[in-house]
Amino acid sequence: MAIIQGDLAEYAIPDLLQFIHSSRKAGQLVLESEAAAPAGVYFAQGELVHAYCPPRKGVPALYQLLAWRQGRFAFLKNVAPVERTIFDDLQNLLLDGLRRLDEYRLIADRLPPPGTVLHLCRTDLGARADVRLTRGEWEVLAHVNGRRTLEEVLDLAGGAEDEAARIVYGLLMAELVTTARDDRWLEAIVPERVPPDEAPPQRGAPPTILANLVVKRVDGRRSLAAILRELDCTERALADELHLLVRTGWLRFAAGEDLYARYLAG
Amino acid sequence: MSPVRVLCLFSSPALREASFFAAREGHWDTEIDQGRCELVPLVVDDDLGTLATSGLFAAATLLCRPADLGPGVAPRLRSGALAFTRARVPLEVVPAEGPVSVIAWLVEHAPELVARCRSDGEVRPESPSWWRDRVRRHLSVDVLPAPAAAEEDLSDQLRAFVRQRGW
Repeated sequence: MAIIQGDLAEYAIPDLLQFIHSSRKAGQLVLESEAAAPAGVYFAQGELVHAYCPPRKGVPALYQLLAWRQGRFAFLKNVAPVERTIFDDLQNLLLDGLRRLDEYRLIADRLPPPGTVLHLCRTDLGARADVRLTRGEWEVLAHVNGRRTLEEVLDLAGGAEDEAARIVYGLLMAELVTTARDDRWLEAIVPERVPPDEAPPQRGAPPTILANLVVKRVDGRRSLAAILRELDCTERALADELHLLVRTGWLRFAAGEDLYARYLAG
Repeated sequence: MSPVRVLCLFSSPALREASFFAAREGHWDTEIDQGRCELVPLVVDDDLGTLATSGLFAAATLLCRPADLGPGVAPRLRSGALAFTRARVPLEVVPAEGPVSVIAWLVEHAPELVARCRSDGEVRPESPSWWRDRVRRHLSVDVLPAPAAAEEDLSDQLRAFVRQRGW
């Protein structure tokens, strides 16, 4: 029943698709590669009707498959798809997909490695009122959180991978997203101690061990970035302690109070 | 009303251990479109044919991977597949990994099972919802193999097609 089996190094995927199309066959082309989850496409009387390449389905999955250069394939005759996700003509899809693949290769060369963690440039996002993002750009940006890698962001973005890659590239170029942890904003914030004669009358001791350590390092000259490096805690933990110390009358700001307020609000 | 029973077969104990069924003893009760359903896990053994003809099961899903498919497995699967066909119990073979490798092995060692091979998306045996979806889909379509068509090898035609394109 498997009427063709072979290696993708010998037969390119566009050739296989064209061959099944011109032979007017029905069935499933199963594809496997060491670099990706198993994938496949379905034909009904030579017409391409469904493609999957986890986590994508339909045309975005087909476009992703066109980039496969290594792996193996088998064609199972007369296997029907469980759903139909493709309604366009194969020739048009191949033309569009291969053109996008060329563009994607140009962009892929300029993107960081897939395992690179992406961070938001917080200062720019907050300060730049002129930024106008499309819905697709917002969808990609929503997955950037300082923990996810480029590969994870592209997978979560859905749609075609080349489209998401193009958006990430644009966001990197516009400096809305960065590959390095962005703590420039922390450099601009300099806390100072509230002198005892200006402190609230009921001020108690700093409430936590970390708060004590923070107060000891605050001298009106060190920035939050320097304090963060010395304490080796998370940015979030430091922000929480700072908030507590400002509220209890221990600290105020020698510089960057507006940035700090915006950070808390965001 | 008695539940629909589906046999969830694994090609090795290790594959079962990596599945949702490792976390529980015995079968799993669930609700699907067809009503209450009992999923019964089992590692493939020589009793496969007996189970097929027992009348207990409405369908069976065999999850397998290339590493488990040695030459000794072929006779078990072939006799099991025959028993399922005779008992008119639908059986599907789902490659947990390496679908093309599994198909190549089936073509060589158990060709009657190639028509039952289903590789149609992400395989997540550790997730109960994957099993539920699998069984729901399995029971909603006729998965008895179509009558055997004449074997057709298109390899030569494919080679000629690619040569004709000239690159």
